[in-house]
Amino acid sequence: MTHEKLYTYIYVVLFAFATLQVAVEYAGVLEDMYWIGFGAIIVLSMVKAVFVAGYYQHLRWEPRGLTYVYLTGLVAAVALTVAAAYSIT
Amino acid sequence: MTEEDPAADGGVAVDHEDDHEDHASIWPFLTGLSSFVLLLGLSGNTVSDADMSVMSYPAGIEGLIYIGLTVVGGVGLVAALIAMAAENFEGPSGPFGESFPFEGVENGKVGMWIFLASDVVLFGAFIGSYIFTRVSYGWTHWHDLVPAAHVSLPGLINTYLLLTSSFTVVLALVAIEKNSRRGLLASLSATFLLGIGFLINKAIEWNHLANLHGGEFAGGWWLQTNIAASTFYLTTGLHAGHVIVGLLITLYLLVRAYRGAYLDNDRPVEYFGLYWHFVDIVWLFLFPLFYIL
Repeated sequence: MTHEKLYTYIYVVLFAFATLQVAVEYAGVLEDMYWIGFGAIIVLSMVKAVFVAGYYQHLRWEPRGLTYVYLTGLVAAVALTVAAAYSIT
Repeated sequence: MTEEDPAADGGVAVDHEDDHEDHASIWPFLTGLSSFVLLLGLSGNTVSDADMSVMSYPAGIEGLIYIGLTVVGGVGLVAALIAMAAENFEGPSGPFGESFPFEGVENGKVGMWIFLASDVVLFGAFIGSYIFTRVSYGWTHWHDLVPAAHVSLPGLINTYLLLTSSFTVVLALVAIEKNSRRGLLASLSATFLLGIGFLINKAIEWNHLANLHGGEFAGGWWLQTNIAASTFYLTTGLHAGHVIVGLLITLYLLVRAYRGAYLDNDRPVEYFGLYWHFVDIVWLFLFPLFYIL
Protein backbone atom coordinates (compact mmCIF):
# COMPACT_ATOMS: atom_id res chain seq x y z
CA MET A 1 0.00 0.00 0.00
CA THR A 2 1.35 3.40 -0.88
CA HIS A 3 0.44 6.48 1.07
CA GLU A 4 2.33 8.90 -1.15
CA LYS A 5 -0.51 11.41 -1.46
CA LEU A 6 -1.32 11.24 2.24
CA TYR A 7 2.33 11.86 3.14
CA THR A 8 2.37 14.89 0.85
CA TYR A 9 -0.76 16.36 2.43
CA ILE A 10 0.75 15.87 5.86
CA TYR A 11 3.94 17.62 4.75
CA VAL A 12 1.85 20.60 3.62
CA VAL A 13 -0.05 20.64 6.92
CA LEU A 14 3.21 20.51 8.93
CA PHE A 15 4.66 23.33 6.85
CA ALA A 16 1.51 25.42 7.32
CA PHE A 17 1.39 24.81 11.08
CA ALA A 18 5.01 25.90 11.51
CA THR A 19 4.23 29.09 9.61
CA LEU A 20 1.10 29.59 11.69
CA GLN A 21 3.15 29.42 14.91
CA VAL A 22 5.33 32.30 13.77
CA ALA A 23 2.24 34.12 12.48
CA VAL A 24 0.81 33.96 16.00
CA GLU A 25 3.98 35.68 17.22
CA TYR A 26 3.98 38.31 14.45
CA ALA A 27 0.29 39.06 14.99
CA GLY A 28 1.28 40.31 18.43
CA VAL A 29 -0.74 37.71 20.33
CA LEU A 30 2.21 37.06 22.66
CA GLU A 31 2.33 40.75 23.60
CA ASP A 32 -1.36 41.16 24.31
CA MET A 33 -2.41 37.72 25.57
CA TYR A 34 0.80 35.79 26.24
CA TRP A 35 -0.73 32.64 27.67
CA ILE A 36 -3.35 32.28 24.95
CA GLY A 37 -0.64 32.60 22.33
CA PHE A 38 1.53 30.20 24.35
CA GLY A 39 -1.26 27.62 24.43
CA ALA A 40 -1.96 27.94 20.71
CA ILE A 41 1.72 27.55 19.77
CA ILE A 42 2.29 24.53 22.05
CA VAL A 43 -0.90 22.82 20.86
CA LEU A 44 0.23 23.33 17.25
CA SER A 45 3.57 21.70 18.10
CA MET A 46 1.83 18.75 19.74
CA VAL A 47 -0.47 18.25 16.75
CA LYS A 48 2.59 18.31 14.45
CA ALA A 49 4.39 15.79 16.66
CA VAL A 50 1.39 13.44 16.58
CA PHE A 51 1.26 13.71 12.77
CA VAL A 52 4.97 12.92 12.40
CA ALA A 53 4.84 10.03 14.87
CA GLY A 54 1.56 8.63 13.56
CA TYR A 55 2.26 8.82 9.83
CA TYR A 56 5.98 9.41 9.09
CA GLN A 57 6.99 7.01 11.87
CA HIS A 58 3.87 5.04 10.86
CA LEU A 59 2.93 4.17 14.44
CA ARG A 60 -0.66 4.31 13.28
CA TRP A 61 -0.14 1.09 11.39
CA GLU A 62 2.08 -0.64 13.96
CA PRO A 63 1.03 -2.72 16.96
CA ARG A 64 0.14 -0.42 19.87
CA GLY A 65 3.07 -1.85 21.88
CA LEU A 66 5.55 0.38 20.00
CA THR A 67 3.51 3.49 20.76
CA TYR A 68 3.60 2.57 24.43
CA VAL A 69 7.39 2.16 24.30
CA TYR A 70 7.61 5.70 22.89
CA LEU A 71 5.20 7.06 25.50
CA THR A 72 7.13 5.32 28.27
CA GLY A 73 10.09 7.52 27.36
CA LEU A 74 7.88 10.59 27.52
CA VAL A 75 6.40 9.59 30.88
CA ALA A 76 9.91 8.94 32.25
CA ALA A 77 11.07 12.37 31.07
CA VAL A 78 8.08 14.12 32.62
CA ALA A 79 8.50 12.15 35.86
CA LEU A 80 12.19 13.16 35.99
CA THR A 81 11.30 16.81 35.51
CA VAL A 82 8.54 16.76 38.10
CA ALA A 83 10.76 14.94 40.59
CA ALA A 84 13.61 17.40 40.00
CA ALA A 85 11.30 20.40 40.28
CA TYR A 86 9.95 19.02 43.52
CA SER A 87 13.31 18.24 45.11
CA ILE A 88 15.40 21.20 43.93
CA THR A 89 14.08 24.45 45.24
CA MET B 1 19.26 -23.08 26.04
CA THR B 2 17.18 -26.22 26.04
CA GLU B 3 18.71 -29.42 27.42
CA GLU B 4 18.59 -32.25 24.95
CA ASP B 5 18.83 -35.89 25.96
CA PRO B 6 22.60 -36.26 26.52
CA ALA B 7 22.56 -39.74 25.07
CA ALA B 8 21.03 -38.65 21.76
CA ASP B 9 24.39 -37.76 20.22
CA GLY B 10 25.76 -41.26 20.63
CA GLY B 11 25.90 -41.77 24.34
CA VAL B 12 28.57 -39.26 25.27
CA ALA B 13 27.18 -36.79 27.69
CA VAL B 14 28.44 -33.32 26.92
CA ASP B 15 28.48 -30.70 29.57
CA HIS B 16 26.88 -27.82 27.70
CA GLU B 17 27.58 -25.44 30.53
CA ASP B 18 31.23 -25.31 29.40
CA ASP B 19 30.32 -24.23 25.88
CA HIS B 20 29.55 -20.63 26.55
CA GLU B 21 30.83 -17.78 28.62
CA ASP B 22 29.53 -16.78 31.94
CA HIS B 23 26.81 -14.15 31.63
CA ALA B 24 28.32 -12.09 34.42
CA SER B 25 30.84 -9.52 33.24
CA ILE B 26 32.95 -7.08 35.19
CA TRP B 27 33.30 -4.58 32.31
CA PRO B 28 29.94 -2.79 32.45
CA PHE B 29 30.59 -2.11 36.13
CA LEU B 30 34.12 -0.84 35.42
CA THR B 31 32.73 1.33 32.60
CA GLY B 32 30.40 2.97 35.10
CA LEU B 33 33.11 3.29 37.73
CA SER B 34 35.66 4.89 35.38
CA SER B 35 32.96 7.24 34.02
CA PHE B 36 32.40 8.38 37.58
CA VAL B 37 36.14 8.90 38.19
CA LEU B 38 36.47 10.77 34.88
CA LEU B 39 33.57 13.12 35.68
CA LEU B 40 34.89 13.62 39.20
CA GLY B 41 38.22 14.68 37.69
CA LEU B 42 36.56 16.95 35.12
CA SER B 43 34.54 18.59 37.88
CA GLY B 44 37.80 20.18 39.05
CA ASN B 45 38.19 21.93 35.70
CA THR B 46 36.07 24.88 36.77
CA VAL B 47 38.48 27.66 37.61
CA SER B 48 37.66 30.60 35.36
CA ASP B 49 39.84 33.49 34.41
CA ALA B 50 38.63 37.05 34.85
CA ASP B 51 36.30 37.23 31.85
CA MET B 52 34.97 33.68 32.36
CA SER B 53 36.10 32.52 28.93
CA VAL B 54 38.76 29.92 29.72
CA MET B 55 38.46 27.19 32.30
CA SER B 56 41.33 25.38 33.96
CA TYR B 57 42.27 23.14 36.85
CA PRO B 58 43.15 24.68 40.20
CA ALA B 59 46.85 25.15 40.98
CA GLY B 60 48.98 22.98 43.25
CA ILE B 61 48.31 19.54 44.66
CA GLU B 62 44.51 19.92 44.38
CA GLY B 63 44.79 20.44 40.64
CA LEU B 64 47.14 17.47 40.33
CA ILE B 65 44.60 15.23 42.05
CA TYR B 66 41.83 16.37 39.70
CA ILE B 67 44.06 15.93 36.65
CA GLY B 68 45.07 12.49 37.92
CA LEU B 69 41.43 11.46 38.35
CA THR B 70 40.63 12.74 34.85
CA VAL B 71 43.45 10.73 33.27
CA VAL B 72 42.78 7.55 35.27
CA GLY B 73 39.04 7.76 34.58
CA GLY B 74 39.53 8.50 30.88
CA VAL B 75 42.05 5.71 30.31
CA GLY B 76 39.97 3.31 32.42
CA LEU B 77 36.81 4.13 30.48
CA VAL B 78 38.43 3.49 27.10
CA ALA B 79 40.07 0.29 28.38
CA ALA B 80 36.82 -1.01 29.90
CA LEU B 81 34.88 -0.32 26.69
CA ILE B 82 37.52 -2.09 24.59
CA ALA B 83 37.58 -5.04 26.98
CA MET B 84 33.79 -5.25 26.94
CA ALA B 85 33.73 -5.22 23.14
CA ALA B 86 36.42 -7.92 22.97
CA GLU B 87 34.72 -10.22 25.45
CA ASN B 88 32.86 -13.27 24.30
CA PHE B 89 29.33 -12.86 25.39
CA GLU B 90 26.24 -14.93 25.10
CA GLY B 91 23.05 -13.25 26.11
CA PRO B 92 19.63 -14.77 26.45
CA SER B 93 18.24 -15.41 22.99
CA GLY B 94 14.83 -14.34 21.72
CA PRO B 95 12.40 -14.26 20.22
CA PHE B 96 11.44 -11.13 22.12
CA GLY B 97 10.32 -8.83 19.36
CA GLU B 98 7.87 -11.34 18.05
CA SER B 99 6.24 -11.96 21.41
CA PHE B 100 3.70 -9.98 23.36
CA PRO B 101 3.23 -7.04 23.12
CA PHE B 102 5.25 -6.85 19.89
CA GLU B 103 3.64 -9.55 17.78
CA GLY B 104 4.65 -9.15 14.17
CA VAL B 105 7.40 -6.61 14.92
CA GLU B 106 10.93 -7.78 14.31
CA ASN B 107 13.61 -7.50 16.98
CA GLY B 108 15.55 -4.80 15.14
CA LYS B 109 12.58 -2.50 15.05
CA VAL B 110 11.72 -3.04 18.71
CA GLY B 111 15.35 -2.27 19.52
CA MET B 112 15.18 0.92 17.46
CA TRP B 113 12.09 2.05 19.33
CA ILE B 114 13.63 1.31 22.71
CA PHE B 115 16.62 3.43 21.67
CA LEU B 116 14.29 6.24 20.57
CA ALA B 117 12.43 6.04 23.89
CA SER B 118 15.77 6.44 25.69
CA ASP B 119 16.54 9.44 23.48
CA VAL B 120 13.16 10.90 24.46
CA VAL B 121 14.37 10.72 28.06
CA LEU B 122 17.66 12.41 27.14
CA PHE B 123 15.97 15.33 25.40
CA GLY B 124 13.25 15.31 28.05
CA ALA B 125 15.91 15.93 30.69
CA PHE B 126 17.35 18.89 28.76
CA ILE B 127 13.95 20.40 27.95
CA GLY B 128 12.67 19.66 31.46
CA SER B 129 15.62 21.41 33.09
CA TYR B 130 15.11 24.37 30.75
CA ILE B 131 11.43 24.63 31.71
CA PHE B 132 12.27 24.21 35.39
CA THR B 133 14.97 26.90 35.28
CA ARG B 134 12.80 29.26 33.29
CA VAL B 135 9.80 28.84 35.59
CA SER B 136 11.92 29.48 38.66
CA TYR B 137 13.46 32.58 37.01
CA GLY B 138 10.05 33.86 35.96
CA TRP B 139 8.80 32.51 32.64
CA THR B 140 8.18 35.84 30.87
CA HIS B 141 11.03 37.72 32.57
CA TRP B 142 13.29 35.28 30.75
CA HIS B 143 13.04 37.59 27.72
CA ASP B 144 15.33 40.06 29.49
CA LEU B 145 18.13 37.48 29.22
CA VAL B 146 17.75 37.05 25.49
CA PRO B 147 19.03 39.61 22.97
CA ALA B 148 16.56 41.23 20.60
CA ALA B 149 18.68 39.85 17.76
CA HIS B 150 17.52 36.35 18.72
CA VAL B 151 14.57 36.33 16.31
CA SER B 152 12.42 33.44 15.14
CA LEU B 153 13.27 33.60 11.44
CA PRO B 154 16.41 31.37 11.48
CA GLY B 155 14.45 28.86 13.56
CA LEU B 156 11.55 28.93 11.12
CA ILE B 157 13.89 28.38 8.17
CA ASN B 158 15.43 25.43 10.00
CA THR B 159 11.97 24.07 10.74
CA TYR B 160 11.19 24.16 7.01
CA LEU B 161 14.52 22.49 6.18
CA LEU B 162 14.04 19.71 8.73
CA LEU B 163 10.38 19.08 7.84
CA THR B 164 11.35 18.84 4.19
CA SER B 165 14.21 16.46 4.96
CA SER B 166 11.78 14.26 6.90
CA PHE B 167 9.55 14.25 3.86
CA THR B 168 12.43 13.25 1.58
CA VAL B 169 13.16 10.23 3.80
CA VAL B 170 9.53 9.21 3.32
CA LEU B 171 10.07 9.66 -0.43
CA ALA B 172 13.15 7.41 -0.20
CA LEU B 173 10.93 4.61 1.12
CA VAL B 174 8.37 5.29 -1.62
CA ALA B 175 11.22 5.05 -4.17
CA ILE B 176 12.24 1.66 -2.75
CA GLU B 177 8.63 0.50 -3.05
CA LYS B 178 8.77 1.48 -6.72
CA ASN B 179 12.12 -0.29 -7.09
CA SER B 180 13.75 2.95 -8.20
CA ARG B 181 17.44 3.18 -7.34
CA ARG B 182 17.64 6.67 -8.84
CA GLY B 183 14.67 7.83 -6.76
CA LEU B 184 16.26 6.40 -3.64
CA LEU B 185 19.59 8.13 -4.35
CA ALA B 186 17.86 11.42 -5.14
CA SER B 187 15.77 11.34 -1.96
CA LEU B 188 18.69 10.46 0.29
CA SER B 189 20.87 13.12 -1.35
CA ALA B 190 18.12 15.68 -0.79
CA THR B 191 17.90 14.62 2.86
CA PHE B 192 21.65 15.02 3.23
CA LEU B 193 21.73 18.46 1.61
CA LEU B 194 18.77 19.70 3.65
CA GLY B 195 20.51 18.52 6.83
CA ILE B 196 23.70 20.32 5.80
CA GLY B 197 21.58 23.40 5.14
CA PHE B 198 20.15 23.10 8.64
CA LEU B 199 23.64 23.02 10.17
CA ILE B 200 24.94 25.91 8.04
CA ASN B 201 21.93 28.05 8.97
CA LYS B 202 22.48 27.18 12.63
CA ALA B 203 26.17 28.02 12.41
CA ILE B 204 25.38 31.43 10.89
CA GLU B 205 22.83 32.09 13.62
CA TRP B 206 25.13 31.01 16.46
CA ASN B 207 27.99 33.00 15.02
CA HIS B 208 25.77 36.07 14.82
CA LEU B 209 24.51 35.74 18.40
CA ALA B 210 27.94 34.95 19.82
CA ASN B 211 29.44 38.06 18.24
CA LEU B 212 26.81 40.71 18.82
CA HIS B 213 27.98 44.33 18.53
CA GLY B 214 26.17 47.00 20.43
CA GLY B 215 22.99 46.72 22.40
CA GLU B 216 22.55 45.07 25.76
CA PHE B 217 24.66 42.07 24.87
CA ALA B 218 27.51 43.83 23.12
CA GLY B 219 30.48 41.50 23.13
CA GLY B 220 28.38 38.49 22.35
CA TRP B 221 25.69 36.24 23.74
CA TRP B 222 27.53 32.96 24.29
CA LEU B 223 27.54 29.89 26.56
CA GLN B 224 28.42 31.64 29.79
CA THR B 225 26.64 34.96 29.19
CA ASN B 226 23.62 33.94 31.22
CA ILE B 227 21.38 30.97 32.00
CA ALA B 228 19.17 31.57 28.94
CA ALA B 229 22.22 31.45 26.67
CA SER B 230 23.53 28.27 28.34
CA THR B 231 20.25 26.37 27.99
CA PHE B 232 19.80 27.60 24.42
CA TYR B 233 23.22 26.51 23.17
CA LEU B 234 23.28 23.23 25.13
CA THR B 235 19.83 22.07 24.07
CA THR B 236 19.98 23.14 20.44
CA GLY B 237 23.60 21.88 20.40
CA LEU B 238 22.51 18.44 21.57
CA HIS B 239 19.93 18.48 18.80
CA ALA B 240 22.51 19.60 16.24
CA GLY B 241 24.67 16.68 17.38
CA HIS B 242 21.80 14.36 16.56
CA VAL B 243 21.50 15.96 13.13
CA ILE B 244 25.24 15.40 12.52
CA VAL B 245 24.92 11.72 13.49
CA GLY B 246 21.90 11.43 11.20
CA LEU B 247 23.89 12.91 8.31
CA LEU B 248 26.73 10.41 8.86
CA ILE B 249 24.16 7.61 8.66
CA THR B 250 22.69 9.20 5.52
CA LEU B 251 26.15 9.21 3.93
CA TYR B 252 26.54 5.53 4.74
CA LEU B 253 23.10 4.76 3.29
CA LEU B 254 23.94 6.80 0.18
CA VAL B 255 27.14 4.89 -0.51
CA ARG B 256 25.40 1.55 -0.06
CA ALA B 257 22.35 2.63 -2.07
CA TYR B 258 24.71 3.72 -4.88
CA ARG B 259 26.06 0.17 -4.92
CA GLY B 260 22.53 -1.12 -5.27
CA ALA B 261 21.52 -1.93 -1.72
CA TYR B 262 18.11 -1.55 -0.05
CA LEU B 263 15.89 -2.19 -3.06
CA ASP B 264 15.23 -5.71 -1.80
CA ASN B 265 15.36 -4.81 1.89
CA ASP B 266 14.21 -1.37 2.96
CA ARG B 267 14.60 -1.92 6.70
CA PRO B 268 17.85 0.06 7.20
CA VAL B 269 16.31 3.06 5.44
CA GLU B 270 13.09 2.67 7.41
CA TYR B 271 14.92 2.52 10.76
CA PHE B 272 17.03 5.51 9.84
CA GLY B 273 13.76 7.28 9.00
CA LEU B 274 12.38 6.52 12.46
CA TYR B 275 15.45 8.21 13.97
CA TRP B 276 15.38 11.16 11.58
CA HIS B 277 11.68 11.82 12.18
CA PHE B 278 12.35 11.70 15.91
CA VAL B 279 15.03 14.39 15.51
CA ASP B 280 12.40 16.33 13.56
CA ILE B 281 9.83 15.97 16.37
CA VAL B 282 12.35 17.23 18.94
CA TRP B 283 12.92 20.32 16.79
CA LEU B 284 9.14 20.87 16.58
CA PHE B 285 9.29 21.58 20.34
CA LEU B 286 12.70 23.27 20.53
CA PHE B 287 11.64 25.80 17.90
CA PRO B 288 8.69 27.33 19.82
CA LEU B 289 10.36 26.94 23.24
CA PHE B 290 13.64 28.57 22.30
CA TYR B 291 12.64 30.94 19.49
CA ILE B 292 9.04 32.06 19.80
CA LEU B 293 7.84 31.87 23.39
